[in-house]
Amino acid sequence: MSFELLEKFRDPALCRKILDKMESELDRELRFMEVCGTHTVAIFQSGLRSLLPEKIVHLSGPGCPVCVTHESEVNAFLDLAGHENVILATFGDLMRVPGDKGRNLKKAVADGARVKVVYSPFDTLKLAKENPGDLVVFIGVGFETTAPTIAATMKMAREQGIDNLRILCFHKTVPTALDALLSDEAINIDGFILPGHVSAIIGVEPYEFIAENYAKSAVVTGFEPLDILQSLNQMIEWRNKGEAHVANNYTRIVGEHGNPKALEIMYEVFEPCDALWRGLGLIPGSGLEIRPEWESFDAKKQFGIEIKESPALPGCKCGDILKGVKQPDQCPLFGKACTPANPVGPCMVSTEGSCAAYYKYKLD
Amino acid sequence: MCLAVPAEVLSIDADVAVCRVDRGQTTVKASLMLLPAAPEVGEFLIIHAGFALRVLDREEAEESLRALNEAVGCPLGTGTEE
Ligand code: SF4
Ligand code: SF4
Repeated sequence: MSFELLEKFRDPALCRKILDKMESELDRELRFMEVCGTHTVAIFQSGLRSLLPEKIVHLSGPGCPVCVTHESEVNAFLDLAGHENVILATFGDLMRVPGDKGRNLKKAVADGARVKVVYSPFDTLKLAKENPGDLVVFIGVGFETTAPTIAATMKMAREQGIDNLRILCFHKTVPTALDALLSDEAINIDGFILPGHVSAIIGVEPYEFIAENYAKSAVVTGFEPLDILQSLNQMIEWRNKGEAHVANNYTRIVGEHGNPKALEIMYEVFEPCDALWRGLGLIPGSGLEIRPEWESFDAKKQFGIEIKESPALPGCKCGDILKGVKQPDQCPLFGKACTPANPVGPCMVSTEGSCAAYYKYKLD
Repeated sequence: MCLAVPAEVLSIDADVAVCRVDRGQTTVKASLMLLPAAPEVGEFLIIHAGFALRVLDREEAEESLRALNEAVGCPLGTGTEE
C-alpha cells in the first residue's frame, strides 16, 4: 500500500506539467550540479536528462565515493592487497578502480591477494571471527551515509571482543566539498541538487552557508523524477526572483537535524580531518579519521600508510568532470581508450560515476 | 556503491528488521542500530549497506505530493486530471 504512495512521485502527467512550467520560466541558462551518484543514475535512468529544457546544463559533481577516492588512497589499498595475513574487505565497486601501473584489486586477486567483497560492513564481523589468525581490513570509503554504518560495525566489534578487524578510513564529508567547489572561481554553478541520503544523516543546516555565503540555491532532493523536477523548478523560480535559498524537498526522509543517533555514533568513532579528493585536491576538514580512543582499529596507523598528493592518471579528466568544468564526452579518452569494460579513470568504473552513466545512456 | 533503497518492514527481531524490497519476494535484513527509535512492522525504511538510515514519514510524503500538485496549479487533483 505504501509502495503506491511512493509511486506517485513518478506520475508522468505531473512531471510533464512541471517540465512545461520550467520551460516557460527559463529565460537564461541554469547550471545545476547534483552531488550524489544515485541522482546521476536516476536522472539518466528515468529519461529526465533528455526531457529537461535545453537551457538547463546538468553537471554531476563529486557524488560518487568511488570517483572521489584519491589516487594515493587507491594505491594505499592496492599496496595492502597481498600483504601476508591480510584479508581486504570492500564494497564491490572498488574492485576495478585503477591505481598506478595498471593495478587494480581484481588483478591483485588473480595474483593471490585475499579480497572479499561484502554487501555490508557488518559482514566483516563474521569474516574476522572466521579468520582469527588474519587481519581483516575494511576499505572505508563513502560519505556521511556510509560512515555511520562503519562506526556502528566498529562498536559491535568492540562489544564482541573482535580484535582482528581494521578500517582503512577514507571517509569524506559532503558540505565541506561543496564549500571548496563554490570558493573556486573557475567553477560556475547556479544551484545544487543536494544528496538525499547524506542529508538523512546530517540534516539541512550544514548546507545553509551555500545561500548565506555564496548566494546560490540548493535543495535536498529525493530520487524520484518528481523530486528532482520540483527541486529544479524551485531553483528556477528563486533565480527569477533574484533570491537564493537552501530548502528540503525530501521531508519524507530528511528531518531538519538529520538522524541524531547516527551522527552520535559516527562522531563517537570518527573526527574531522583534512582529506585529499580526486580532482579537488586537499580540502581542509573534509575527511573523517578514527579517533585516538579507537586507534586499535586504524589500519593507516598500523601499516604506516601516508596519503599524499600524487600524479593523476595520465590523460584522465576525472578531476575536471567532478568539478563540473568538463562533461564526460569532452574527455579525449571517453568511449575510446576508456569504456566501462576497460576504464581508465574511476568515473568510468562505478555505475554511479558520471562517465559510466553518460556512456551507458548516451551511446545506447 | 551507496545505493539506498526503500523497503517495508516485515518483522523485527533483536534490533534487526527483515524487510521487503519493492513488491517482490526479495527480502533484506537491516540493522536498526542507527535509528533513534525502533520502527513498526509495515513501516518503510531507507536501507544502506545493511543498516536502516531513516524511517519514511508517511504524512510528510502525502504533504509533499499535495504541495507538488499545488505548485503546478491543480490543488485538489492528483496531477493526472486537468
Ligand atoms: S546521498 Fe547516498 S547515494 Fe547519494 S552519493 Fe551520497 S551516499 Fe551515495
Ligand atoms: S572518460 Fe575515462 S579517462 Fe576520461 S574522465 Fe572519464 S573516467 Fe577519466
